[in-house]
Amino acid sequence: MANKRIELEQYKHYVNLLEEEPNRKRVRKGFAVCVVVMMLLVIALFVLTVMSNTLATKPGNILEKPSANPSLPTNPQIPSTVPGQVPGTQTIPSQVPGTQTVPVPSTSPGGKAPTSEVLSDSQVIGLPAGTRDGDLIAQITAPIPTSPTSTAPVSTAPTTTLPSSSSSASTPAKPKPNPGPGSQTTGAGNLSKLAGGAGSRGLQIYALVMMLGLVVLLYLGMRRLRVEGKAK
Amino acid sequence: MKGNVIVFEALTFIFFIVFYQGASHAMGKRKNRAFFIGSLLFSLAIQTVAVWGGVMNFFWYSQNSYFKHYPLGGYIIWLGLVPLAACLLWYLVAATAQMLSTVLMPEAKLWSRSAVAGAIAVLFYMLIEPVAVTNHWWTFNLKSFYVIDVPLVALFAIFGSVFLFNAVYSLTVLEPSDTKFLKRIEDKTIKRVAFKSNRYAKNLTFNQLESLFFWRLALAFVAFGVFIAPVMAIFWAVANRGQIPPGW
Repeated sequence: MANKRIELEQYKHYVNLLEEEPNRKRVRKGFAVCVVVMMLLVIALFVLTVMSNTLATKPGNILEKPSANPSLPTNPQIPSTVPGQVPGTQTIPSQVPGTQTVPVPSTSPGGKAPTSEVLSDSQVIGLPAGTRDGDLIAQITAPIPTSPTSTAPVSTAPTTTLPSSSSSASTPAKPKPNPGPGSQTTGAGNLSKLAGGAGSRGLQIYALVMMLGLVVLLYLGMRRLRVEGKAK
Repeated sequence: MKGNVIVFEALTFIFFIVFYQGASHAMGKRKNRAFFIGSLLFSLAIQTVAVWGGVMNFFWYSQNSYFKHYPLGGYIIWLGLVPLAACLLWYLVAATAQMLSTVLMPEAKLWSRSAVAGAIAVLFYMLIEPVAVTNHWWTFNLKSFYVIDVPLVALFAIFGSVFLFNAVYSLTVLEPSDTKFLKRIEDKTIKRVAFKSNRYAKNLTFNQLESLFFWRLALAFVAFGVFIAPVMAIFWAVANRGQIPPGW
């Protein structure tokens, strides 16, 4: 009796699976639909890759922060400085700690622009090319903030930045601890490098190779099932 | 020009509907349903933990002015912290990998077939990930080793998750069987509580097999955690990109 019961239970399970198992023709048809859908998905992804190639070439795109106001561009262009002209609308950050901004006296020798002895290379940013004697130069001691909302007043007087007495010139600079990898990938890790390579077609070539590989793989699966079906 | 999140979501939904019909024919209705629900829950669990842990996120822009940029505000349907489209994409890839590995290697052992399925899924994601990070469908924010701005951990995770999922599916639904280790745990837990018997997996009804499948998926999730933790640690040590600071 017990054996009979076990047999019946096994039979019940067998019926379950029999109902579940579709016939081979149906399986082949279903598999073909799945393969075609995945091929279309792969092709769509390739098209999207080609479409977004310009985005991918931007180095900061991956972790780019969107602008607060969508009507404004994310990275506003700073107006270029024309030699001999003070940029009237350029914003300058408030005084940098450790530096002192002193106006150049009009009686300075020859009224010359600050020389490289006074200004270190790291302090001079955006010194216009072709500057001559007597030209007015607005010197910026720190990178210009790109925030479009910044409205700091502009100092139009020609200024010279001198190191303060407490500056690090007298004391040796302490070695900074290794901050580790930055928030931007470098070398092979950077997508924009691939996108910009091979005449700005690097990413497209990569996507094309991946797409072709996947399409071939999917086709092989479909062909295998078709051959198996014909053999039976 | 870019492929917005809405383009990705719409594409995924349309392809999913057609694919599900095809997979129901290819696998069988109930088996495909079990595969779909299982993959949805499994991928949702993994991605939710990833978002919680700060490894990746799907709302990089929505915190700021994203809703001003796009009328529908990015993803339409969310399952907690993860959009439905991301889970559906995982299902599409995992199911395709499972079917392809079965068709291409019908005589192979269950474990090697699952490994091939994992490798096929990695190939798919090697195409998907660069498009996704470029168009901000999701963003990785993990200190790790990146290749074309995709962390290698993500590709290992795809391999591990698809491998484990397919192994569990094959071991429970396709060829119901018990390994010594699993039987010892299951006899004391799910079989005693839910089935009230210690029958072998091959003697269970399909509904019981489904329950056993979900139970084993929970174990697979733990196994996935054990697999991915050292991988993350290794790539953390050789990282070429750090985490974005909190004050971003």
